[in-house]
Amino acid sequence: MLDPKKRTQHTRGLGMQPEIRTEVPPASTETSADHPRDSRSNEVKSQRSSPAASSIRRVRKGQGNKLTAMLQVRNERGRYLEEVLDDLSEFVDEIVIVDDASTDGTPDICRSYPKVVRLEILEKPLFAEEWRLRNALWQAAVSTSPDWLLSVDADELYSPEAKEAIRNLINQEHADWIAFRFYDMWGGRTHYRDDELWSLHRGHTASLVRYMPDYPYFYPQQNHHVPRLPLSCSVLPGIRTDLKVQHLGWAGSLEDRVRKYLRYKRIDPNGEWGSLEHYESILDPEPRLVPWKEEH
Amino acid sequence: MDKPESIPEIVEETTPKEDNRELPPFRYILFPRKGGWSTFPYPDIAALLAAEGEVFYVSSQGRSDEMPPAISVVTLTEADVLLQQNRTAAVIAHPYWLTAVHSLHPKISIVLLPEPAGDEADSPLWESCISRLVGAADLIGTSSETRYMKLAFQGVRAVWLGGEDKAPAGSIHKNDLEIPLRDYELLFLHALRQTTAEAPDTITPLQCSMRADYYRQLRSKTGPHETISFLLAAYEYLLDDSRAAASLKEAFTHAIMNGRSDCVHSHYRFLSAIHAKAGEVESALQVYGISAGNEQERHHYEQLCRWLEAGEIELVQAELLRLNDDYGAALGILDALGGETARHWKFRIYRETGCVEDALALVHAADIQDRSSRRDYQELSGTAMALRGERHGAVRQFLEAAMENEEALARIVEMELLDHAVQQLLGEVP
Repeated sequence: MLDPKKRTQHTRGLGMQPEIRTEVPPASTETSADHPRDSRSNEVKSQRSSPAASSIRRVRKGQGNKLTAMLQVRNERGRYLEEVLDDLSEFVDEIVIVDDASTDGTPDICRSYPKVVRLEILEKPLFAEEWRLRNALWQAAVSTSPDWLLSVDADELYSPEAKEAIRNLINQEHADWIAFRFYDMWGGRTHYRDDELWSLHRGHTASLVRYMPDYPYFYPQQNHHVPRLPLSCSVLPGIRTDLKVQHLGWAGSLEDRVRKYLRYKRIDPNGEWGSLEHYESILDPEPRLVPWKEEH
Repeated sequence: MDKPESIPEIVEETTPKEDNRELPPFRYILFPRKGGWSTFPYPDIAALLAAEGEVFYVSSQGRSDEMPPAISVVTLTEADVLLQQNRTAAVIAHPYWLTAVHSLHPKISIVLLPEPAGDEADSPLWESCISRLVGAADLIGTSSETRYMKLAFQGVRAVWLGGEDKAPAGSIHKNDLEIPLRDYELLFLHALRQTTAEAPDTITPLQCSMRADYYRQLRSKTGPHETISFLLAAYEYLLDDSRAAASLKEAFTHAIMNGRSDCVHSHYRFLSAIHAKAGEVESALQVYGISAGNEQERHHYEQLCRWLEAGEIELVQAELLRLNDDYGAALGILDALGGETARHWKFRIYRETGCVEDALALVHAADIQDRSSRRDYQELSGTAMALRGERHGAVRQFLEAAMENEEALARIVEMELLDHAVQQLLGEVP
């Protein structure tokens, strides 16, 4: 199999180090000029310690990546979950959901979507220990062998441009996360909020990450405002795009916003996990709103 | 808690071939840095050498008042004569002595690496001379723990000349005088005796074990820490301690939490060496693949995957170790593997680690058929000749190499710079 006489004669010069810059032929090609065994050698004794290994899984794939969306949900009936799942079903391959002890039948909604390949229902809620909830979702998602994971909240909609671009974004071998611009839609879907405290869209939020099974993924062990992706993703190379995502969490009625304001004040009365000023701004009677434009 | 390692009692090192008790003491010829005795980087080690044998200090200037009486001053010419005699070792305390000392062909070469003074570290000559000095040394002492660790990875006999414990760890006697020794001095003494007796190195692993104990204790006091846990992992790795992977992962986690954006390369990649050394080559390769941060590295990862698929387990293992600077373990694997590819890879490691003569010895006539290879060979030959003191031959090789690539002329300039540096080291010019 490794008869050197079958290989192309070549000279690597004095260094003859592994040619890092040269193309590598397929493993099955026995006339390899870049095979580590030097072609001029007449040695035929085997240098192997074991039979040829089977195909080695590559940590990154340039094509054929499976895209899996992962969501944590809780009492989503009557909100945006169905719209979000409809939307995701258009452009992802699979969906994994962890239901945080809903009491309104949210799991039934999830079950009705064929792309939901895994639904874990927690008996006791973990929302007071957010990192545990994030971790439970991560573990559920990676157990389905994804190539890429899209972390989606049950009130986020990817723009048509983002949905169109996402396959090209993941079918490459140089970046391990993708960031988007998230817009806080305010009091409807025609405007987003834009001021000092509401400026998520001015920066980038990573929500799409390559899953590499050997890499140590972990979330910071904090109870609130845990990042949607494991902290260890942040040190991998990534891509920041201008593709848009609508966050509908503030797009509902004033009553909805007041309810959320009261919930934040109850969970974090001293601003330990977030900014009190930010919480107060939820009730700003005259927020600065900018008309939403789909195209970018 | 683990039982701390202890330094063995001082006994003469002997080999089956040699009985040191019947032999005269060694002579040590010190090749200092410029500025006279007061700038000698390791006076405590010089005192140790004086307790072990005769010590000579090479200088064109007379002895200074502060120089210990046990040390004699000799000229470079006198040093040349002394080094021709048996049981005489060169002790080089500045890298710019490189060619001047090696051209005297010392039988034993001990390097005491100084910390760079002034702008020395900015010169490319500094590191390249250290590399070649280390490549030809029998024993190396350094006050830099970072340097020590690098040397330990390289698989050379090295002693870290530092430590937290200032209490005497032992003593030696000289002229009815008891000289207390700190732990590192005692370690150096053992290493010195093993070197001169051509005995196997037991001191480098012993000191690594002591450093691992130290960092383990420090970690237990401070808790997990990106640097402490990393250093612990590195020493555990050198000692083949299976705890290295856990220590490394802990270091990586804390580096991330501290916002170190480059820690995939600086911390995580080392896990590939840990797996490779443990024989978990596929896991090692996947870690390397994750840490491959540019096109060249990603291509190399793909190449390694294909080699592994072709069953070249040892070659991939050796390459992953080399990529993590563990030249010592990589060479061990390639030595055991044998064959043409292993020869080529050993050549590269020897060249990278400044082992010029070892590299040259691996070159076959068939390797230098094309112009580029011939030029590389001429440059390597010239470097070896310069080290041997064959100046004319070296210049000729460099000039011939320069016909293909003018950069080879830099080697001639380097020779002139080192000539001038030696004059400074001797105190002949400011």
